[in-house]
Amino acid sequence: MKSWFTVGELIILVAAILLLTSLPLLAVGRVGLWFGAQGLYFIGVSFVVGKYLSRYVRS
Amino acid sequence: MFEVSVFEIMAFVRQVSGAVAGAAGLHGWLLFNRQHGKLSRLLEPIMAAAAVVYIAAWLIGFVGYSLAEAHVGISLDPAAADLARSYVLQLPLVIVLVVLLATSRRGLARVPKLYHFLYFIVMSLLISTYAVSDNIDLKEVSYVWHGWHSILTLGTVIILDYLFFVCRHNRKLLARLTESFDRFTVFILAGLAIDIMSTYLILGEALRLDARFFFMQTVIGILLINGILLSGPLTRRAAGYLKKERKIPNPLNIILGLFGATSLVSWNTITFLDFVPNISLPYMALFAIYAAVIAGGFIGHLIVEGWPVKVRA
Repeated sequence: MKSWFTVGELIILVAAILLLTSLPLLAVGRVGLWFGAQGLYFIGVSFVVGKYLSRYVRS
Repeated sequence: MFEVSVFEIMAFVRQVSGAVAGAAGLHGWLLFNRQHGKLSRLLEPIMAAAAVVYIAAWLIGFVGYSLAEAHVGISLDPAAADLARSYVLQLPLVIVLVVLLATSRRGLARVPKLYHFLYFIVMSLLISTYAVSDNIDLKEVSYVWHGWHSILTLGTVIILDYLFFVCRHNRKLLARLTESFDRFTVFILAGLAIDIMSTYLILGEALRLDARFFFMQTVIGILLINGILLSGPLTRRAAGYLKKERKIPNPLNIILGLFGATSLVSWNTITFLDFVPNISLPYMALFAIYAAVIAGGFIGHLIVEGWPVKVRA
């Protein structure tokens, strides 16, 4: 069965959910989750860009 | 509650039109091959129209700043001084843009790829220098990245929506466009990454935990979830139908419209609040306006699709 999301998309999705979850914590001065979500976003983007570039180079 | 000046509105209009013209140049240049040449051609009118709007907004801002300094004698705060400095730097670039625009008809007919590329370069330079710091420091690098990322994000989203709009009755072109959707997604996601990085360069002075900040973070979260669902499973499903030269079913079409409207409104909201900073509405009020504009955009999409009376061309 074909999966709904690629690895990169799934990581970005989790990062977005974490970003939204981190906002109440950020309001009370706890910045860890907010930075973590952004770090995860960068990892997700690297996967998406990497996959696209590898396909582009192969074609 | 609202302290919106004409200069701020003009800065917003410049950013949106610059992003659109730059993105049209970029994607027109990249799409100009045998397979996607027709899509590239479709971008020419919007590229030229956006450049005209940019020049008009730039002129209003330029004249306004000169008058404010000469007649009122107001002392500009640092950010305003950075903006004023950019007008001086941009003047030769705007002249180049006017020349490019004046020669577009012939240029796009003879050397389309080169003209798209030139538009992209000139708009990139213009949009990256919307504010110029008095020396090259992290703030200046942040300005450049913060300005330029709009070509990859806001500009690309508008261009994509525009292409879907003009191709909506041509299934073959729509299939081509859907096939190259992941290319646009890569640009948008990378653009947002550049924007986040530009924020980190000035994090100490830029991080103010107010309602506006929390609202913008919420919009970014929504934008990402919306973008991943739209560019991932939804577009792949639509591409499946179009590949078999079948019509996209109505429910999927409606969902695509809702997600498209959310994406377009969200990027415009972020850019508007970036360039019009003196809006101090409470979080819920900002969110209510944002939701209402998305609803308006979605209804607009439904009307274009022939709702409530089914009259499709």
